[in-house]
Amino acid sequence: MGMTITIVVVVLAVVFISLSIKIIPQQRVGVVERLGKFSRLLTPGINILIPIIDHVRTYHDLRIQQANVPPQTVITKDNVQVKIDTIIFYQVTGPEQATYGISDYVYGVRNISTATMRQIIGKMELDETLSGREKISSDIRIALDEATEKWGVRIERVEVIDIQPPADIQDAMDKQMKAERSKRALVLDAEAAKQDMILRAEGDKQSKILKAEGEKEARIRQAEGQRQAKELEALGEAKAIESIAQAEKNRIERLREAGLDEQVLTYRSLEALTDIANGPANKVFIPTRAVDTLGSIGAIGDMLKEKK
Amino acid sequence: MDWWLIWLIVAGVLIVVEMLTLTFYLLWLGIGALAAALVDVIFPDAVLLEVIVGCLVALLLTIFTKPLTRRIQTGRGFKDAGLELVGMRGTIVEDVSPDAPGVVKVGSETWSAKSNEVIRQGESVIVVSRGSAFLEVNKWEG
Repeated sequence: MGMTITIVVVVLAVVFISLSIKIIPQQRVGVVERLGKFSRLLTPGINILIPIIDHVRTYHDLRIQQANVPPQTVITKDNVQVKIDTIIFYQVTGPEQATYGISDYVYGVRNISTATMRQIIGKMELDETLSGREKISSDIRIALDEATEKWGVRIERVEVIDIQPPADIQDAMDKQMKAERSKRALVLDAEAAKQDMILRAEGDKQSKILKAEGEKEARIRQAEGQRQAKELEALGEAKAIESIAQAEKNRIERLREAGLDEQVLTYRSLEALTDIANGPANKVFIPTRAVDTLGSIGAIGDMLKEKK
Repeated sequence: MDWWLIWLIVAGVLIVVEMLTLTFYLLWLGIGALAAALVDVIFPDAVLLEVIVGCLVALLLTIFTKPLTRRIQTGRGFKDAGLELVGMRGTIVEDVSPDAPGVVKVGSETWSAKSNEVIRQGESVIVVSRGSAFLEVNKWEG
């Protein structure tokens, strides 16, 4: 009998004591209800509860948590279906609301993030979604915060891990990229050819110009040489003529000094006549001047007489 | 029957288990068992008295846990920087007005912001209070 009472007392005491002391680790918080009504939060450290009337409804982790949303199919503004893989970082900031505001806040956070994501991506073009993570994150913020305010949860950020366009679109993108690159290659080729031709033409032009210049120079030089040579020749000729004339003049002068007169002339004419007569021709036409000359023979005779 | 020995063994086991599990109440129970052993040394074989004394000691220790442990609990604790925002200065990233919330950047964190006045982008604000996802902000005075 005494033993039974002892055991009962011991069990009661052990259970009571074990339920009344709660050690809460850092960054966790417990929600305490007193007879079904919310009374207080259990803070980190040692807490005393009154076992019969107090009841810990639930514990919350106050650290930032991550939830991986399974890949979703989302339609972009330009009607492409992309598979989008996101991760949500969220934190419980109001343990009371997280307990009483929503039945399962983790599930709620996932759903609201996915829905908001759909909405935001539905307003973006495919190319934007592929490069606009920052924009997605910031756009999603206010929309999410308005919804989660009542849940005591704050969604820190929504990160897009992976966006996969469908295979055919991916194919098209690859082709586009290839085409871009080959276009660039072709353009560069053409540029090179153009440069090459231009440079060649330039070289040609330069060389032709230089040749022509050389020829011109050479011709000018030749002409100059010829001109100078001719001038010199002319000068020489002029000098020669002059000296011939001078010599003739001198001869005539000398002849005159030697006393050239009628008689000499007459004599010479006669000699010329004899020459003519001795010629092979049968007939000799004597110009009138010659007749005169013959006529003057008599005069010559007279003259000869006079001399004697 | 050497009850005091049994109590002593029970106390030892309880304290060892306490050291392994860190629940704290086993320590009080262990001390209660020690008290019962002490009573047994004074009044041998008064089992019910021993049990009652032991339970009382454990209960009293439990009730006065807080004052007793205040000295021991000297840990600094951890303050979540993200939740200690009131009174800090931030910069508006997207315009805030009474009927449309905006975005504020406080330190390295970006929060949605509500305000009773219109505050343009780039202006400095002071955090007045924190909701679970929104901050109440006012224009920075001075």
